[in-house]
Amino acid sequence: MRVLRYAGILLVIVGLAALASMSLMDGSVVYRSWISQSLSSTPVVINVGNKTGGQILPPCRVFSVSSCFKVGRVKGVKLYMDFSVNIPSGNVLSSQGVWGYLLDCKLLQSMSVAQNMSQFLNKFSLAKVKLRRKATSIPLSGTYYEGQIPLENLTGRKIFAVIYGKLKASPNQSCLITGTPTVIAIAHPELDQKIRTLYLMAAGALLLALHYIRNPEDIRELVERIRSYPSRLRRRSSPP
Amino acid sequence: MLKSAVKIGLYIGKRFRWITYSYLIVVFIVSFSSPYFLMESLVASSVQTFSPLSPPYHNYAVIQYFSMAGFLFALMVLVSAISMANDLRSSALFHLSQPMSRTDVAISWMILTSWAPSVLCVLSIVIPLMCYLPHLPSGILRNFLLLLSQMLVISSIVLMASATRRSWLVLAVCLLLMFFLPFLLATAISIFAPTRYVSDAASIAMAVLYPLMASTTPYNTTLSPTAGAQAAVVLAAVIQGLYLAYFKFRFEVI
Repeated sequence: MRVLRYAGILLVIVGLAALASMSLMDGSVVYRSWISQSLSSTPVVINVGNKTGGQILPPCRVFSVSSCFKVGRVKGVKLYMDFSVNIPSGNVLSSQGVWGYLLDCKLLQSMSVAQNMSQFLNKFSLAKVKLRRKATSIPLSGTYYEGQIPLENLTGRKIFAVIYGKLKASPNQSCLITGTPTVIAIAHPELDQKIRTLYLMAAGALLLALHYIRNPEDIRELVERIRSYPSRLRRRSSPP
Repeated sequence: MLKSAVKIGLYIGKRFRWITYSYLIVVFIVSFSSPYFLMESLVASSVQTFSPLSPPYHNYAVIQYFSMAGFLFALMVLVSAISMANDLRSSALFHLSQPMSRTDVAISWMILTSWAPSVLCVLSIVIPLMCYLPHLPSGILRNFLLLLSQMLVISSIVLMASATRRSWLVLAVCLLLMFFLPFLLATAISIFAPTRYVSDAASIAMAVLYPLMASTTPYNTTLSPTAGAQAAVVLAAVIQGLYLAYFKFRFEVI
């Protein structure tokens, strides 16, 4: 029966395809989702000390707050919170720079009444990252910052993200941080996942071996076909 | 009977070697691309957002990919069915003069044209995906059943057409089932929405013939896609039974 042979070829092909796709996918972004901002559709500015509705008085803190979200664990995939922030030109950041924080959703209420926000964030943040300055070719469009916070240890928790910075702005200057917190997933297939594809190929090779053990004449036929292949190729390419 | 049918099926597969190779190429393409397309949906299903603005997660991407893979295998059904029609027209006498029964020949073509593409379509998606995640979410598993039933019912109708030995009819049936009928049914559902009977009949036909597509339609279907899939399997079994009966009792060797 040639069933073994076809089943073997099929398993080898499927295993090979799965291994090839795993290898090519390694390191690539497989998922990207913009976590919409919770308070309004436009970027949010919260001035904790003096609530002036978008007009920021120095010294002040600025925030962009994402909506709450929860991430699960998918094997072979690493999840990050990806920040991209644009601070419009004319606003100068202090040496403190821009930070991205992840906080528990339970803290959302208490955050709005916290007086010393930087201490509060340092105390209660689950993870934080200093956003690095990003070179951009767009002229006069402000300063861009970017950074990634790994979400690996935060799976299953209901969290939200804030972007925090300290501006040196003049009293009449208004400022809006345009931050886009994004959840991204980068594929990093693990060893056991790759081994599973090798199992498949091994099973296919085993079935092929079984077939050829049971039908030794097929080996002769196969060897003959492989040997005659160059001459057949030559015959095909030469004009009649 | 099944053993000898498989034997004849393999013999036919050897005769039409290029069909076998095409199947293997399609299996490779689908197996290679399925993790790319489906990993996004697997991750998306694991991220929950609680914002009232964000829409609830729906596996449209999964269904879209399944439809694409199903389309590739449906093309293989078309190729096999046309080969079958041509073969029955030209060399049926030769086959049936061999020491093999009519039923065996009929089942062997049924395996090649209906069962093999349906099962291979599902396996070539599910196996690479299970290399990643051995425990797939139940939502995705349900879609596999919908895809299998859709492939079975469509390939069974094409198989019945190819038993007539007319390749133009096979092509027409394939084009109708793959391209025109889904659009016609969707249009009928939306146009005749006020007239309940026509719309209901169209949505039932959609759920039975295309359970996978029916699960994405925004209209309230009278028959749920899962119930439609069950009906599709029954319909496929009935058509294949009719095909076997026709081949055994009414098929005339020219």
